[in-house]
Amino acid sequence: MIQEKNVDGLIHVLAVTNPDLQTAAVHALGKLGTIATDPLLEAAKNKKNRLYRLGAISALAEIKDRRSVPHLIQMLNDPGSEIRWQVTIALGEFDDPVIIPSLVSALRDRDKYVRYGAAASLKKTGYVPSDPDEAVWYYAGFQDWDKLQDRSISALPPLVFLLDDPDREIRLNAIKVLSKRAEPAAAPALIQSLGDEDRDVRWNAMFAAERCGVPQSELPRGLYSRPHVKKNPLIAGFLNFLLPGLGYGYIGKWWGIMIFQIDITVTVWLFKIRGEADTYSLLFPIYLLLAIHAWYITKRLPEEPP
Amino acid sequence: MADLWFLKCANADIDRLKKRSDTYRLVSLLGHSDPVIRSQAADALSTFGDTALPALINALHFGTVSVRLGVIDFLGNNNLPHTGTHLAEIFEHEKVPEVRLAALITLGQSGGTDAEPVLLKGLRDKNRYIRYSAAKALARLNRIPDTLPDLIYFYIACQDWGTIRTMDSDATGPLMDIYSGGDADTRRAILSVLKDTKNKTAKQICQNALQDSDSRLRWNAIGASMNCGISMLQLPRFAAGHKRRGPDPVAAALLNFLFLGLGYNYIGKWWGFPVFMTYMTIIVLAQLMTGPFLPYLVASPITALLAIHTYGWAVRISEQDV
Repeated sequence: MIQEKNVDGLIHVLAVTNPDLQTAAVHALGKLGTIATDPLLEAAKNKKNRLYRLGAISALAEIKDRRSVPHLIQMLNDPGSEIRWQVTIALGEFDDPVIIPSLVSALRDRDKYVRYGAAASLKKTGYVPSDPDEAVWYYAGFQDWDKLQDRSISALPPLVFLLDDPDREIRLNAIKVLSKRAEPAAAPALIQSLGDEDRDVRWNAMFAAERCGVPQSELPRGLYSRPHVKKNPLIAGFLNFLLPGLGYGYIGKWWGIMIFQIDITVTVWLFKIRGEADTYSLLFPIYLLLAIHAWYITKRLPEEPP
Repeated sequence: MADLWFLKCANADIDRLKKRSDTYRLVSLLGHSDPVIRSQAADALSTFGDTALPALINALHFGTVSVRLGVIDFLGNNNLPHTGTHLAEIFEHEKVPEVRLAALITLGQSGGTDAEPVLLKGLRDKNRYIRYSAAKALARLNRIPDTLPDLIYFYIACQDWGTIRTMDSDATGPLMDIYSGGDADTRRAILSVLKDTKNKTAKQICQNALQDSDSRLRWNAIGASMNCGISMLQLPRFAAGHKRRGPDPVAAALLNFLFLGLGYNYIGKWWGFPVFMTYMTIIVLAQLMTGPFLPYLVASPITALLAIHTYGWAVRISEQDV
């Protein structure tokens, strides 16, 4: 395919699941040079399959055709995090100062891989942060917690930003750094972290909040904003009244589905033998009792500790 | 309905409620999600003095969690009569941990005569936030416990594991008490202390740890157990008694016997439901043709065999949880 300069054929190979074959296709497209740029840009932007797109971006990075830079920069807004990550790495291959502002913006991406990719690419280009504000985002991209602890620089914006990261380890590390920095300005963000979904994050947020001067009396309300997994007694009762057994299933009792099936079988046979009126008058009080029981046991379920 | 009234009330003019002396509605605003409204309501209520007490006490017992937290905060900032008694009662009987924590913190900040017994009790609580806050309040009030057991609980509450390590067998009782019902982090820390101190009186904790539901903790318990005098030969036997997280084999078998397919679904097989639906369809059609009992009679030997199969499968799954 290389000898035939079959760009389309090579692009098709990008979507195979064998990583060796995929890598070989990327290198082959890279060797073809700028004649592959336009078809690769087309594939990178418009193909539905993620593997095509990732492979095409890698090949564009190997070709290093400057025409692809604006398109790659545009792809930093792609909804797919792997695409954005691949783009940040690809941009690092271009020796063009125009990529710097885009990579600096990517340091504020929601995804840690994208941020890391942007920081690594910036480092590769010899980037030196122009001011302390940029520097702290650069360190945050590398997750350089030691540098972020340095109280001589203002690291609050990236640290507060990292408190919302989907990765609990990052949230935990950001809280530990904020705790060491002990800045009162971090207090509102730390109160919010008291309601984090993760137990360790909440526990460490308490110490950090204290060190940042949050009054102790504000801790319980912050903690109470954590996600509560307790089941709703009314829903359990309602389900058990309408579909006896499913209320028990809702609160995690394995035998709920069994009661449900027994009820269905009994109801069908009562209908056939005793008729509609008798069936309802017989079953209604039982349903009511089951509903009350489900409501009661759900209400008595212990509150999960913070 | 209560929620709708609450939202309507939130937009109302707090001054108007103040003029109408509507303390009950003002108290309900102490639980508002907006801190500014909470603060305005608290300012308005503080002008009523003792006359707001019935509304506050009523909300303390019957209000939502958010209102109860607001009331406790308000009581902490306003010196109203019998506050300590009410807060001690809330700490004793409340089920929501955050409300108990708020009551304890407020009591600790008041430093009154009601505070010390509650704070000492808080040191022995199963909730680490409560233990820590109690210890902190006692330290601030300069009332560090003078009896040895209370002092050990104090160090545990402070998570001062270094000092606990120096206390050897004296610490066993409190450590065992906090271990049972404590959170996984605290249980791990306690095990680490036992591992280092080689405390021979703590065999019971190590035995419990070997049966802990947390697999990381069970792993940590191996080293601690050997240091505490449990022989290596005993370890597998103790560890085998841990509560398995896998499906209950009896439940899986029973479900499959009565409702073929649901047992498979219970042990995590997606195709359990299609099997169940097929089984039920065949049973119902057969019942329409032959009456209610014969199809079940014919099916039961088959479902019994499959129940045994599911039982064995569920046992194998739960065996994997080591």
